[in-house]
Amino acid sequence: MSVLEMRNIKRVYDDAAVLDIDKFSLEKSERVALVGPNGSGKTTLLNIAALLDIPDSGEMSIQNKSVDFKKPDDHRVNVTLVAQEPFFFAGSLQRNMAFGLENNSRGLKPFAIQIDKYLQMLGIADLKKRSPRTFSSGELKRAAIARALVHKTPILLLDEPFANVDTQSNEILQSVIGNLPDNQSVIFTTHELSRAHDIADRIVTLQDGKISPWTPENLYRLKARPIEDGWEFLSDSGLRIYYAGELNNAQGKTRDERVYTVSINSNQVLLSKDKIASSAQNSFKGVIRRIEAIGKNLVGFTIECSDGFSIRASVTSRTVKEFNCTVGDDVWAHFKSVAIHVFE
Amino acid sequence: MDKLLNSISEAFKLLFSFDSEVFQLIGTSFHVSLVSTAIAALIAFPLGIWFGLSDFKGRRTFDIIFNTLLFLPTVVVGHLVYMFLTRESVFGGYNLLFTRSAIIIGQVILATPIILTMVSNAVRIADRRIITTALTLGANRIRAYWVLVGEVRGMVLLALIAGFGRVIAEVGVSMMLGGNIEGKTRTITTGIALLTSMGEFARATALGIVLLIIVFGINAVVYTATYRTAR
Repeated sequence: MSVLEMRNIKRVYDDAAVLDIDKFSLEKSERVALVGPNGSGKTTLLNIAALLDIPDSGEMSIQNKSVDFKKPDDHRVNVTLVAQEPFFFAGSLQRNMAFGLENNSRGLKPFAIQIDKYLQMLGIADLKKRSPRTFSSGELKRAAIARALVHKTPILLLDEPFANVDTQSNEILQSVIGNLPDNQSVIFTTHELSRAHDIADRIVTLQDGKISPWTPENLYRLKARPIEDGWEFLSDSGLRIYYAGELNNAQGKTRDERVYTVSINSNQVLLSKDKIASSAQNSFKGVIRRIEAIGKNLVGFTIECSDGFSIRASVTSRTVKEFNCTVGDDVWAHFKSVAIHVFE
Repeated sequence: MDKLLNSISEAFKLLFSFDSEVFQLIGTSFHVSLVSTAIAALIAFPLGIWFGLSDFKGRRTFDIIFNTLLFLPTVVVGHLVYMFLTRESVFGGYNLLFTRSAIIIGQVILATPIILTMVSNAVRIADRRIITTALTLGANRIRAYWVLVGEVRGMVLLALIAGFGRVIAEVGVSMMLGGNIEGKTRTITTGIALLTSMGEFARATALGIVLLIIVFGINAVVYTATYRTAR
């Protein structure tokens, strides 16, 4: 069952569409990671889902009820958004936690236990009497998420929960978001794809306001050098990747070395136990550093190659059984030139 | 110098001897100024919030008009209201001229632009996340606006004080519309004007100092309260 559904949602600022989505849905208890470069429309999508921004056209339903954008207050009770830079009202963290709860009742007392529960869950119970305006950025993020969780809305939207946060806070946030009850569905945005894989059931990529079929994973900053029949991407450690496509912004094949952001589709990375002759131009030897489940039938492998270069490969669960490899084993990773996406 | 020192000691004597005449003036001043500030706030708050939040065409024109109104000379307001309240005029039948109500009407006109401008500026520079945060945590639009006002309450209180300061210190409106009637419409400021014209400088200065002491006290209380709650 979808708790949130968007159809043909379009948002235009200054004559340019910042969001243009044919279809997007969030299922019950699903955790969706929204990834994409800056300005790709992630925050706009969350703001529309939270009914803090109204689309120029399109339809949306929340909890199977069609949203009347003229009466956003009626639907907003199902959604809580934690902004990238959360705002806190004057007063203690405890008072901030109680905001919105006291609407239904007199005073704080009936909610004290609830509030304490979430403060403890996020490891900030000892801060409850302090003003959040004195908190560190990690504490602020945890406090904002605690404040959102206490409302127990079926939809939780988190904008960059892991950005600018210390390691300890990140671990706590990751565990809290990963272990939310089944009656809560989550959309979070992130720049860190590995974290998206760790927590999310599904990764949705936005590019220029549209949902993109590929995921910006295996991202590298590499120098490009023209060679006889294409280009060669070079890392500082000496790794060479062959690319047969065109590089438009390179202004012809000069000897200038330019730096590009390059992504390699993990679905198109092939693994083998031994060096094999294949049609793939790029083959690297490496060690399996990590194996994790991605959704129901996919498994992600992280391969660390000899020169410090890591690459992720997505493999079906069925292949994994036949492949019979474990962390620490040597493998070869291969990919074709067409698996490379260059950001220009 | 001697005169000034004498006036200061006279001022404290007047205050602490509970001189009934002085307290009557203080009472009248406070009565009209508090009521007019309250009415001005009722008008200026919703308008100021709306002005601060909205970005309609021609808002700049409104801004210029209200900024001009900040400089309204009190005697001009006194004169204008006077014209509406004389027996022959539209509101003449209400017999308001030379009453405290007349002073209040004039003072409302003086205080409203100040409070409105300050509230609207406070709202305009306030963090917009106040509203989105309130909304996402379950508040409706109206409540979110109230939360916004609560968050900038320091500035809102300053607006009230500025409005109150303008009307308690003015003399034009009180004199022209109140008529300086002893025991009825004589305020601290019109009292000072009268005493000065009668040559009673010490008493006049003393009343001025009494006014300042009281206003200082109000400011001290409000600032302390604001500082405590705004953290």
